[in-house]
Amino acid sequence: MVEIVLEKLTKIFGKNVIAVRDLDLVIKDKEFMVLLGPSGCGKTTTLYMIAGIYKPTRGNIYFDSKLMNDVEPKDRNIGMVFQSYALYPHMSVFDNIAYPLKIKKLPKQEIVKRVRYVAEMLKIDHLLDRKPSQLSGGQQQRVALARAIAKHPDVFLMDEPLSNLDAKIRVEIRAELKNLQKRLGITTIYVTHDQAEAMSLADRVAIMNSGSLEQVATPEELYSKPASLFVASFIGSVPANIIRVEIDEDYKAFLRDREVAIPRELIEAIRVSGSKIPEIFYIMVRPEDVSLHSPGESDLVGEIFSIEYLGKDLVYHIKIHEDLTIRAYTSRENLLNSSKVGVKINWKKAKIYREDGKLIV
Amino acid sequence: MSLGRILINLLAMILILLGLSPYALILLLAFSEKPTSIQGFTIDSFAFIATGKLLQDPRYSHIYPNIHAALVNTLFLALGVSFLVTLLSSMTGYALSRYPVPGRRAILATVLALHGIPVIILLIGLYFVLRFIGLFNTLIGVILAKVVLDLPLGIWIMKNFYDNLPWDIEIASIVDGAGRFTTWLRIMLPLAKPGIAALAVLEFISGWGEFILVYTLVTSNTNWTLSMVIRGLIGEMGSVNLNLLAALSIFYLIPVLIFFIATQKYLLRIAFGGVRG
Amino acid sequence: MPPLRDMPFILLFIGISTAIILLFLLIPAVLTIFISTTNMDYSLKWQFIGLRNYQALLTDPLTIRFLTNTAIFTAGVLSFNVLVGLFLAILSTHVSELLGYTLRAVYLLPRVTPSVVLAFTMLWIFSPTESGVLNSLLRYIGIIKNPVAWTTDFPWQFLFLINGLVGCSLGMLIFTSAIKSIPPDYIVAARVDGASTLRIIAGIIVPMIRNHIGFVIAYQTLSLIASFEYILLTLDGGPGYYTTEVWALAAYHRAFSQYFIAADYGYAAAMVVILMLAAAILTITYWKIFRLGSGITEPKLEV
Repeated sequence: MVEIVLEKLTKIFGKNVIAVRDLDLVIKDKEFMVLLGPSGCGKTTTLYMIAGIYKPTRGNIYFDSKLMNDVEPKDRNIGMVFQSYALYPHMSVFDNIAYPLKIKKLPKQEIVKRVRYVAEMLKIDHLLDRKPSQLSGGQQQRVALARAIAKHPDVFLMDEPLSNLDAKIRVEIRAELKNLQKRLGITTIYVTHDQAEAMSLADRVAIMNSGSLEQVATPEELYSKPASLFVASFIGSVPANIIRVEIDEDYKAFLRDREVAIPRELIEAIRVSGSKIPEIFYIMVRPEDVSLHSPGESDLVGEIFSIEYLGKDLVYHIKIHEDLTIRAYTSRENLLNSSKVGVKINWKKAKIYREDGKLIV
Repeated sequence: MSLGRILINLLAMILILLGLSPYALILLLAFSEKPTSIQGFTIDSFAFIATGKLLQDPRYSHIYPNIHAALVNTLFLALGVSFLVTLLSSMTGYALSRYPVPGRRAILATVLALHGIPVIILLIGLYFVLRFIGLFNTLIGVILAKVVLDLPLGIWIMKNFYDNLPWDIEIASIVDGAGRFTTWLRIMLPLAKPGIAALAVLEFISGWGEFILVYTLVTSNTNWTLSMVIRGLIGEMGSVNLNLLAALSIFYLIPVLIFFIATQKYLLRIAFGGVRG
Repeated sequence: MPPLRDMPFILLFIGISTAIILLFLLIPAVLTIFISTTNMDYSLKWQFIGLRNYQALLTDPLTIRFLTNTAIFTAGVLSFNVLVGLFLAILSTHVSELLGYTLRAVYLLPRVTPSVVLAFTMLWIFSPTESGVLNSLLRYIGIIKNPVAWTTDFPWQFLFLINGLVGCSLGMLIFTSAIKSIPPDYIVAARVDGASTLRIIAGIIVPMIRNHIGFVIAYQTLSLIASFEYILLTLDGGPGYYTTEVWALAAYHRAFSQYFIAADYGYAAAMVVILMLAAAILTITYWKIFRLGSGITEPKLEV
């Protein structure tokens, strides 16, 4: 159980491939931290540096204030779980789980005790004599977890461990994993590109993009107060609406030459923030904060482009013009008959961004 | 089946028989009653297997060394070469594949360039080096010379083999607390077994049939291998019973044929792993 | 520089191999170069004589003979290797799987057969005496009346055959693999267009594997210019006076001749050094042509 501090962590491969850039992050003791981002954003590289497999080009890594940069992986007391499970194919499940304990030269009885205990915890105690090739994906992943837990590590590092599993099993194991982590109280860093997985598992999420940290916050905060357009569009199962408007000297907002009514408070906030005018801004509003009305009731009018059925609710895709389709998430179906529809934005929930950063709450 | 098909299948079969004919002929000669042609059947020529004496006539039997001794020498040479090349290749191949050795590229390039060095280039130098360190006229000296000639290829083959094993398992082992040596011993080596087995067989065959190194670096016939005995007999081909030569040849060939047939698939796969690397 | 704690690992895993290669490869090679500048003979007494051995080489009338012989030998065996290897590869990939597999296995046999056994076998089959297999057979059938002196009248062909039998297997395997990895679409398309099998072989298969053919030619040329074991075992440079004595064999005889007191290590070493130079030049050329340095990947772990 440790607190991990990453200080200006940088990793450059070869001459100029910057995988991770000046990363500052604190992972609290017992926290379930998820590193989220698209492929190539540097999350796995960061994980490997924390594990000691890669050496940082610059920057420092601390476990409970102890500098770890030159400490070997085997001395960092970490339990690691891989996407491919990385089970030793020529050993039985028992020997796989026991391997790190044998390395540590624990007495035989202790090893047997721990392996059985962990196997029971993960419900694989009936599989101890089998070889990995005889197990299903879900079972193999449990063995991998068992192996990581059995060493009583200070940190869990997980690299997309559930990506190779079927969707249904993934959801099941996800819940078990969360529960397990809370019970064991071991600091966990989990890497994934799946935002839904991140949102459901994490105490906090660190979103990365092209080697840099975009935002680190709790899932709720990430959802409701995304710090940048990247975060806003990355988080959320139904993609957020990003609307490009131009604001002129008179603080009037124009969406492609048509004026749009924006509440006074927002305009005030823009003026106060000191951004220069005229300028382009982006309005971010989530689909559930968009409501549909008859065309006359709002100045954003468009055609129903398509409707997605999500079981209980629907997502309407409204085409305002070629470049702009607004998604509205609602449980009401009463607009089927008309093709033209008016869109109203719940301005209280909207956020406004410059090309990059955020402006108003 | 079209005529064309039948013809080429026939052609293949004829070529197979043609290719096997020398071996069949020698086999028949070994069992033949007549000294220079194939007639009848007798196993007299194989008497040396039991007695160890090549020439049964007591007047001449001391000219050649005891066959049993020669067999042991040949076995020693083959096993020695096989063991050393396999062991060293599986270690060096691993380090070059998995460890960030400084100057790795240069080392690998050198290894590749060194393989297939013609024997003649080293023979004179080896002659003197072995004399200097007192290993001249010993089988150990021959083993070391043979190992050095076969080692580059062995290293290259094993390195490529290790390259194809998954990285995650190695990382998992390191994270689990094992050092490089333990990881190699407990995890990677067992996974590399097929490659190691194939290399061991290949090197055994290579050492078993070795001639020129023994011929040049060994003088006393107590250290002779079977290849030297046969060579001696070839030198006297005019006056010696060819059945004896044939029988000895068959005797010498048997292990190679057994290994060859038993490990066909392996050899072909590994021969490729090496050359294509 | 790897950390100190990894030193035992590096010493064990790389150090031992390096030591053996240094001791039994590098040092002998350097020693040979050194000896070539001396006049060391059987008595092992020597004096430094500079480049005199090389000068002697240049003026020795036999030198041309050795060079020519080596050229003939290399060209002959290479042709056999490549043509027969190609033939066997094409044939074995166009017959049934089992037949093809067996065919390749049979023609791999000479390579794994001990050299003395193969030498004896071929000497007996092609023996110039009437008890030789070929002579007996041909006389039995009635084609010839008197025994043909195969090895004396056709020494080069004999050598091409025996070395070729061993050497063609490399090409056979490489070409087979190359042929098998030609995308079948090309062949199918050609067949649909009505091309005959011969057309397909000549027009599609051979051109598509020309890189492999080039590689085999390059690789085997390098080993053939220094090859001498089978010549030593069968004709020993004869029949007669240096008819088939190639460069490598001449060097060998000069150093390790039957007559111990005729040993001239200095001269022999000079001959070997020339060979080393030729091999080095060829290797460097091939390296550049085939870009063998590419494709070397880095390990994933940095620890």
